[in-house]
Amino acid sequence: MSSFAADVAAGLGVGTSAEEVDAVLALAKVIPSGAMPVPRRLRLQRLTFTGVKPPRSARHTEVEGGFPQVISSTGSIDLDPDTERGDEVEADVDELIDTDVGGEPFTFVWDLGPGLYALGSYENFRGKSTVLETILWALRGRCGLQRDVRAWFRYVQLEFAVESEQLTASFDVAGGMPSGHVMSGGGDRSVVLASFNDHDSFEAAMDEVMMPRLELTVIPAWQNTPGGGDGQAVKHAWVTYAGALFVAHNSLDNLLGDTSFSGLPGRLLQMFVGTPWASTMVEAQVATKAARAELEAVRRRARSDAEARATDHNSVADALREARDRLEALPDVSREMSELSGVVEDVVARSVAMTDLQRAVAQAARGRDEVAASLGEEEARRHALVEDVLARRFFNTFAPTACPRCASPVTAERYSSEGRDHACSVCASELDLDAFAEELVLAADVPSEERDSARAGASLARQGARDGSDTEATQHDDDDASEQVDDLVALTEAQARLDELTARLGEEQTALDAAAATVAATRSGEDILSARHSAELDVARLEGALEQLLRVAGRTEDSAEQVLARRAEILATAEKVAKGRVQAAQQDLLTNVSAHILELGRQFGIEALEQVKLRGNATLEVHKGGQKTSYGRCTRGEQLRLKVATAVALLRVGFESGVGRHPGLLLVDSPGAEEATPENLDAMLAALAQVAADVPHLQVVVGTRSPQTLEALLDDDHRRVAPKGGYVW
Amino acid sequence: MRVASRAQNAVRLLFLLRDGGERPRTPPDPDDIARVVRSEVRLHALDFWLRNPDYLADELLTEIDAGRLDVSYAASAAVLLDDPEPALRHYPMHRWLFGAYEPLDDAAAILETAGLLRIGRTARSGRPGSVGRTQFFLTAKGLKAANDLESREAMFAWYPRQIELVMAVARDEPGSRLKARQYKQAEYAATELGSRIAPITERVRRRLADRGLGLIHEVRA
Repeated sequence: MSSFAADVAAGLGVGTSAEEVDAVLALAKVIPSGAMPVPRRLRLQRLTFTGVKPPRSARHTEVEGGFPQVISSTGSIDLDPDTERGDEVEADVDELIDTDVGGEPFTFVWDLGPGLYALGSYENFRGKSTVLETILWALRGRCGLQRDVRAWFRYVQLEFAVESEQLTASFDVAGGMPSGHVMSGGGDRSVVLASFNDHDSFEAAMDEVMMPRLELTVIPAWQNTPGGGDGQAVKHAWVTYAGALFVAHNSLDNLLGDTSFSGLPGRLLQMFVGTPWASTMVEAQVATKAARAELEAVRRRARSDAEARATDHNSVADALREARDRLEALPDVSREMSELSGVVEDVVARSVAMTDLQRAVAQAARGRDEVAASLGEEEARRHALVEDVLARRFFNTFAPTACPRCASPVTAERYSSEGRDHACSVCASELDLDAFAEELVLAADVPSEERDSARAGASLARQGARDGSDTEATQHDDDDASEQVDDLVALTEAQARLDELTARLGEEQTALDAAAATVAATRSGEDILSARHSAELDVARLEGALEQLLRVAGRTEDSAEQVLARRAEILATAEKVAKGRVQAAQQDLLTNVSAHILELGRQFGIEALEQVKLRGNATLEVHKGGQKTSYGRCTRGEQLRLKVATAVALLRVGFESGVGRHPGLLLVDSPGAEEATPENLDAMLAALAQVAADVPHLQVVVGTRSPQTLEALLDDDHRRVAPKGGYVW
Repeated sequence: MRVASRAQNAVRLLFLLRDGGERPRTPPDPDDIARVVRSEVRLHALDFWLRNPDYLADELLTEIDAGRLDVSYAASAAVLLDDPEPALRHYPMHRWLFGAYEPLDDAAAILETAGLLRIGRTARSGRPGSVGRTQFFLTAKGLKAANDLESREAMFAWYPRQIELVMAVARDEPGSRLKARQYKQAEYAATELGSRIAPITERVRRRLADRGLGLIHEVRA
């Protein structure tokens, strides 16, 4: 358990153990280390480069104004001012190579050691900056030279040392493209550490070689993705550190280094001044951001998951409700279903019975009709008999006047003798006495059927005359009457039977209809049963789905998100604790560095400088001429001197305290005459020379337009000065 | 098939003469005559409608349709079909469609013997010995007898009522015209039923139903 972890746990309050903090820090690769970094010294030993300058007429003229135009961080070209405004000749790299034959070969070799070294020329554009850029190119693998100038180069070699290790970066340049290797050791024992054949692989090779040797740690930084994503951790390593070793007029925007990115100057400051806990703080910062981003991603996923689940939940719940409603709406028909076979049998039986009954009804109706017909026939017969006898009697009442055949007159005596002699008054035929008694004149030789009919008619007539009274009825009358009664009874019975059968038929039809309806209903009941079954299955399935959804929702919430939130909380607290320690340790150092900057700044010619205050984030508060301002608001000349002052101040303090990661190399490219007075520059050179003399192992290389001063300050080995109108190389 | 007795035929003939005959013109008609039917064909035609109520009802509807009878007779036609009484006196005489009329001789003899009817036969001109036209004269005694019979026996009151409908159909048209109408009726029946002897009761029922059963109050447009 570390004291750092204990402090973090304490900062989080009750319920947090130092063990948990340690575990989280280890997982996030945040190393709780308050160790003071010890500097590793980098020293340039010899720069060699060769190439071919194209004929003057073919040189690319891309310089304007009094300053070289720079395409990358530190590149500059010294060209003859007379020619730079000459013909605008467009020449690409290939053309330049093709002009080798007609060009001017050059070779530059410069041995370097500790202390101040300088490049000087009376005019600008004489090759000073090119030498500085070439050093930086060989050192960090990234080329800041302009493209056409780069194409002039054929070979570059930089020999340098990190502490006691001898290193050499050597590479051929073809068409501006480097290819070579980095070697360790000298002579026969040299070992190739890395090889490269283009810009990217060169940069990677130098990073690989330099980072461990200078014991520099990668600079973790959190880069937010444009457009607001979760961001990602990016590494700015050796190329970034190396950029901070070079102070040039085109990298003045930041007090430290040439990269303005994500608070990088502040981190370089912390690295160079060797603040304990700085790396822990930075690691915790980055880890916190990463954890928060991850947490946010998880939360966003969880939200969208939750939304998706809610949608799922809602749709499942809706479906479940629908299925339950469906089930509710369906009647339970299981009982009816079990009775179906009985009902079907009933229908069949009733249908058979119906057929029989219908046949019986038809039969009964036929019987009734027959009885009725026979009764009607009988009635008509009786009617005819009565009518006949009444008609006979009526006509009998008329005394015949003549024989209808022979017209012989019928006398009154013959007519009156009929009753006495029983002979027809017309034809003298013997009369039927019985008929005569019935007041009917009927010959005895008339066929018996006619005579019977006549007598029956007479009887019926008499019966009708009595109005149904049968007290005096003859036997014949009785028979006749009883026959009629029998017929009536038969008709009544037949009708009654028909009525009964018809009624039964109606009842049977009703029962059959009911049974058939039951069958039909039960048939639809089969559909209902099937629908119920389906609805029950749906309900069961959806209930299961809903339960599962609720279970998943609960489980997710208390897992990843909570762990991450906890981790982010611990890391944020760790960052806070580390920051507190850094600030505590840094404060004295920063105050000390600020004092040096103030002193150096004044020495460099900023006389109105009253006070400076270097902050932990590598910003500089500047008080001059009674005004409080900032580094960013100073003039370019002031910025240059303050930046150099800051670099030197850091080196001084680092060397004095013996801590910090500054490699001890400083490259300074001086500004043009309009940026600072020659007196200021002289003062700055003198100050740098003093610093170099004071601080062992310090190496400073300066490009300047004050060759006269150099001559006073440095011997020939430490300076390269172009003659008036000439070039450094 | 029921056959009416001689006495029944005589009663029918008596009433037909009284209600279907015209008043005599004397001279040339004999004295002491109350009514006269001037041809045997007309007498037979009247007798056919009297004995076949379904044909009578049918003809009533035809006459209504032709605008010669008031629609109120439709009710009478309906009664003819459904009342039991006409059925009792339904003595079909189909044979006349195929051969000779049923002779009225026996019935006429009864009436003649009693002095109620006198038959006048006129020789056909140019053909000596052949009977040209037979006229049926109802004597004044016959008229009185018919009236007595109608009032004395309720059973016979039906005949005059039925003959009233027959006369509504027959009017005073000659026998040949009435016979032509009856042939037409029979042809309709034959077309529909495939048999000339079939009763046309059902056909009449349909005709009644077409105009709304028992259209007693129908008003002809």
